[in-house]
Amino acid sequence: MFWRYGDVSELVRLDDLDALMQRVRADVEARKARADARIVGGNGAEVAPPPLDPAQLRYTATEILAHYDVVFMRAAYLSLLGREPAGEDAARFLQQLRLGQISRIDLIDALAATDEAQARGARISGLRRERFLDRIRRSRLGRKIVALASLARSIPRLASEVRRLAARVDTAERKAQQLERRLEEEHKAKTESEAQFSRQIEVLTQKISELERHLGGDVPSR
Amino acid sequence: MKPKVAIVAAGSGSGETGGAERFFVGLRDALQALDLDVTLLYTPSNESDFDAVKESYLRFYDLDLSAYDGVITSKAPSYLVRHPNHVCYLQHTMRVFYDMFEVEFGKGSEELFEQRALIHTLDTAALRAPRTRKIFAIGEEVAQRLRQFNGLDAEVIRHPTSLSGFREGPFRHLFMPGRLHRWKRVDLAIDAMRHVKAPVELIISGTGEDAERFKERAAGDPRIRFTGWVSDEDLIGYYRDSLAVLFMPRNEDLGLITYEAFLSGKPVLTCADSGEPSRVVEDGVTGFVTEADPAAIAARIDQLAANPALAGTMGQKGKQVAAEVTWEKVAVALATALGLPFRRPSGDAPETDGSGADARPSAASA
Repeated sequence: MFWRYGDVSELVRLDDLDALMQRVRADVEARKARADARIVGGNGAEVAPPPLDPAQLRYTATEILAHYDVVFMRAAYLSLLGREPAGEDAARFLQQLRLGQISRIDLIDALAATDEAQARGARISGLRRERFLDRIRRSRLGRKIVALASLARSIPRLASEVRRLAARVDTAERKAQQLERRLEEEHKAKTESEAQFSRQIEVLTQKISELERHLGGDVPSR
Repeated sequence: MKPKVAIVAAGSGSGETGGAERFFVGLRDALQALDLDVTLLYTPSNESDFDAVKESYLRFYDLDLSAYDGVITSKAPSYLVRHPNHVCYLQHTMRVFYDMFEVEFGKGSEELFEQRALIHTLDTAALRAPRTRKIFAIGEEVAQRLRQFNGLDAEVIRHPTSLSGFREGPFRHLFMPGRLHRWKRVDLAIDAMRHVKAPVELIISGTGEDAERFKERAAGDPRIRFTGWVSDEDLIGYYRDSLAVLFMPRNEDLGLITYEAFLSGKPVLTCADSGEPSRVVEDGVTGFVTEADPAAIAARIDQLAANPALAGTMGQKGKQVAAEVTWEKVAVALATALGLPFRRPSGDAPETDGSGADARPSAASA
């Protein structure tokens, strides 16, 4: 019996734990390498097929800005410089993007201004419009509009949350009422018991008095 | 020199003290009582996603245990260790890839089926002799699952609870302790209460990811009370004053709640599909085993509420059952399987597996 591990061409004996674990090790290490590649901004490791064709020299802003984070970095580098992102500059750009210190348009502009990009001569159409929109998005008014839009999107979720909370408050209130009723009932039962005991004590006291009288008051004291 | 034994424990790494931690401490203490030099090695295991699962499998596979004469593993994936003298006392595999696969993933996806197949293959290869000299299982449920999915046999040896100080008391309320998780089917008990005629309270203790869902389901029934997390002392108190203990999980591996109830002199109400508790509880003798049907459960609750003396009789019989399950039996079985010389607390001479020779293979040959 064999195990088809990932690729059809790779068959591992089902009882060969060492061979199976070698494959698991390769998977785990490859995943770690991919994670490292994401952090340092590319070390030659292929994380996925290129997001666009680096052989071209004409691109649209929309096709580059369709991507984010590492994939966007690759799209920007491949289009403007014709190569994968690498080195300290790429790592720094990625870090700045992630921290929100630069926008994706800023990165495109920075790359486009390099000698390497000038020498390659690639052109990106639609950048002016995207640059304008980017400026609006980053302005105070733009941020407010974005915040309002986000708030509007979350209204149904908030409404559902409020309904859920209201249901919980309702349940809690019902429970409190039930407990209150139980307390009242117990209090009533306690009062009744006390009254009954008092009556019984009264009856017993009377009986004792009668017995004392019957015995002529000659009852030994304890 | 005392033989050195490592218990390799797969831990969540959260540092919490739960049932799993108590299990390992109980096992360690029992083996130490046999005059063995025992070390409990906690190694983190992360099951948050499949990449993390594979990394956890690799972590145990890579452990260097050559300093020990014998190794005992228990939970997945600790049995991936490599040691020539390895015995597994199986608590459970990753159940989400076994009997709970459909419960969690429904029809699943091609990717999930591949993941499941890989886990089955790795587990089977790791647990098969000679990598694992012998497999013990904590219950018939676990052994049956191992037979069904992995084609491997295990000897069943149940272990007791590591909690102590149980006491007997009045028969007041129904008690349902444990994790508030859908697999524990607290909702079944809540639904049963709708059919219960007797004025008996159901106290549910514990916490868990499905707590809110259960509380919402119980809303409106003043007889049901959730205590949240309780201390060991309070837990013992709730057991002590209970009329009966409700324990109706789905396919439970062992369920120490059954023994804890018995040690408190209380009967247990469980279901036919609850796994090991349905085998431990003898229907009509130490409790009731019903169908997983609220009305059927409610009928048994009413029966006990109307006749607390019956609950007392059943509880006493349960107590006798619980007394038979000891850590010493577990430790002796494991030490014998490892072929290590040991000394019972009551005995004088060291014992081995009966062959007269130290049967342990050398770690250096690994």
